[in-house]
Amino acid sequence: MKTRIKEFRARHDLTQEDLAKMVGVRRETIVFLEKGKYNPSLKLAYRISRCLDTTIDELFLFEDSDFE
Amino acid sequence: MKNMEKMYVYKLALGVIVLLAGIVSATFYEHDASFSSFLISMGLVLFIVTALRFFRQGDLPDRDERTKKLAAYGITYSWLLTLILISVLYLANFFKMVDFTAESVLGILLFFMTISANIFRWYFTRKGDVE
Repeated sequence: MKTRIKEFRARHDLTQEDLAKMVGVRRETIVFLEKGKYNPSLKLAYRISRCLDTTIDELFLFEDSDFE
Repeated sequence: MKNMEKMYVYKLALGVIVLLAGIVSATFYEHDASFSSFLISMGLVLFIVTALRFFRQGDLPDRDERTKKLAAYGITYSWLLTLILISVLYLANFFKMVDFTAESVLGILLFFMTISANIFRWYFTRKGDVE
């Protein structure tokens, strides 16, 4: 899984800590999300996309190999 | 009071209760000093660790969906490993290789479950996720 969280976060001039506070998670969770190492719940993915004024499918990019 | 703060207060109170139980046990039941020192150590550790976390907390939550998920998986893996350990202990006892007392088995399981759950949680936390 790849994410564009870092890109959208930079567009909104937000730090990882700012985004973590907005969605109510630890900063480390944002770090692992940006690295694509953590699969968030649908609820968290929705909250992040709302905070970054985008949609879930714009933010999280899946490849076929992710489902194997 | 927020839920998280309530949890800290409950844990601090539990630490004090366990510590006091250890002191009372050491004062009135002199026959088994190891149990009293175990209670005193557990109470002190619980109290100090909770107090440190309480004063260190900032605006960000202490736990979130990722840490809860990783802790749950840590406990699950620990449970499975403990099941294997129990089988090994049972077989060792059955074939008279070792002669366990109930106290020693309970002691082994108590430490093994606590330590293995924390090791698994630490490993998953470093990895980022369980998958």
